[in-house]
Amino acid sequence: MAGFVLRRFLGMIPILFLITIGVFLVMQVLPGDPARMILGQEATPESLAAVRERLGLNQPLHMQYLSWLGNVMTGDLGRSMVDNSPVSRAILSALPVTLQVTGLALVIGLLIGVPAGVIAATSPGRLGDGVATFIGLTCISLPGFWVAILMLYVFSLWLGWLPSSGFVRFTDDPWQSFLHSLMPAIALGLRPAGIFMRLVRSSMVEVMKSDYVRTARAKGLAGHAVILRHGLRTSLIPLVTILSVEFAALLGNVVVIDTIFGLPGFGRLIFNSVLRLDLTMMQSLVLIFALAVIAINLLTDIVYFILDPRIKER
Amino acid sequence: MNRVLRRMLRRPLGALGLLIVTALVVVAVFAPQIAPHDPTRPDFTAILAGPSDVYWLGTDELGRDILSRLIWGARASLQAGLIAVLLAAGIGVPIGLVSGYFRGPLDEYVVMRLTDAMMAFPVIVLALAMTAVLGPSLYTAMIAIGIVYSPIFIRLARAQTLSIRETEYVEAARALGNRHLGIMLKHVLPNIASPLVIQMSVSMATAILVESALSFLGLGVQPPTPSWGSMLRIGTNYMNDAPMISFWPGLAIFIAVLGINLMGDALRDVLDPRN
Repeated sequence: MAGFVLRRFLGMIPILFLITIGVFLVMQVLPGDPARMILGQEATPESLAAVRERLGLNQPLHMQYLSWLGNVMTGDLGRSMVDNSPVSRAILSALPVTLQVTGLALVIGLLIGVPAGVIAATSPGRLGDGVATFIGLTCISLPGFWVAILMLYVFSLWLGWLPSSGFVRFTDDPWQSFLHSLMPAIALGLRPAGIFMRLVRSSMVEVMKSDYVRTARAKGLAGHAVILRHGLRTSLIPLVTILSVEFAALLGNVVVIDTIFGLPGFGRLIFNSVLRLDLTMMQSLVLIFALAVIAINLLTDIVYFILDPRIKER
Repeated sequence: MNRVLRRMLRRPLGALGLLIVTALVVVAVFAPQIAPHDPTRPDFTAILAGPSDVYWLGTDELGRDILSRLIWGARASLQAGLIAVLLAAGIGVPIGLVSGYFRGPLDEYVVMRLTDAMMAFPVIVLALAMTAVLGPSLYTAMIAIGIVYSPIFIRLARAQTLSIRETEYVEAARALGNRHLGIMLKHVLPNIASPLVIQMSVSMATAILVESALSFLGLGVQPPTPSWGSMLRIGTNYMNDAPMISFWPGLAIFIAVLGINLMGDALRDVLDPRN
């Protein structure tokens, strides 16, 4: 187990290295002069030179990369180019918001998707097949931001049941916090729900046809026990794999959902940094998004290993 | 081709998908002929008007006809999806094909690790960063989505090529002294085409979603050009007075994406040799 985790971890180092180079290079090709962006158009040549000196912008590219990498490794993500506040503080304040909303979205996706997939797999026939396919594809095809706006209209403006924007931290008021993240999480969770449903259905249909399920049935195991003990368990492994892929997609969709619901999460942070061309903020956020995805992939591999010890090497 | 089409039409959902996609293409191509009004011409006597004989779906905040804007918006969405996916496949398939055909350290340590790294970035986040570099426009959005999707095609083309290159007919072609390029184009590519076509339809559906999300954020199609995403964004400002403004473009995105997904699903059923 430890050896497996270590091997997977070491295998990720070159990928991490490539990611940092990629992020660094993308930011280098941005138009505009960061020093001028900080000081404004009326800056004197002397003050511009001083800022360039301070930021290390007059050093050769590879030296800039190495010093940036060194800072990142020690947890120093730099300061925002717009208001000079530390980037790490902004990230730490946005992190719980995004984790809560995306986590809830995944839970909603699983709560809808898995039972729906089981029902779809156990209701055979062409009609059941067609209905299941249609519902699954509908969930996948619905634009999250449209669903968000429709929900806002119905549940906030019309019925007044749910708050339309803003966020309350879980530590301040758990119930209000839940209410504020419910609509964003549903809007984000529909796509994973559809994907989980299709996945559970297709893998269960395969399993239910297998010999060992027939044997379990033949020895008199009750129908629901067969489904739960044999059918669902086998579909757990592909479910875990797709979970990590869907988490990456969720992190991306957070950008739109944060904007609609005014959530102070990662999405708003990166969107604002793009609008204001806040280089250091953007650089750090893109890096963190990628690291989060890599970390989730590693976690997936470990869970995978626990669920199916046959996978020693991949 | 004809056979594939006929088998897709025999499935109700496949037929529905084909119908939606065909309608979408017709609307996008013949937008100037179909649209009842000029999509960018304001009518200050009918601002935020409800449905009427003149404006079937009402008008927006500048008095522009919503139906005409929806019809023209189909162009932007379809164009974005199509070009993004063609770009992704155009980059990905040759790289994946060559990489999988020759294998070796370049394949394993460079191409595979690069795709790993690229796939770690959420699509919208990378597209946002590229928008900051290239400036917001429909072309930026298309290029960004195309580049972000290319690793999927590299992976798929490579995986398929790996299995085809071991087959006897490829071996035979090699024994006959055919050149590598000829074998790749004549023997490998046609045999890996089906999964690539399926992936293209799946990717096109999500590309349209991503493009409309970027336009919704104001980073895709720029005004006054009509697009579904930007119409939806403007509609959110008028949710109290005219909620339908943001309803229609969202419905259009949904139907278009659903149609492409239904078509892709039926295509998978028909083309997959296991069925």
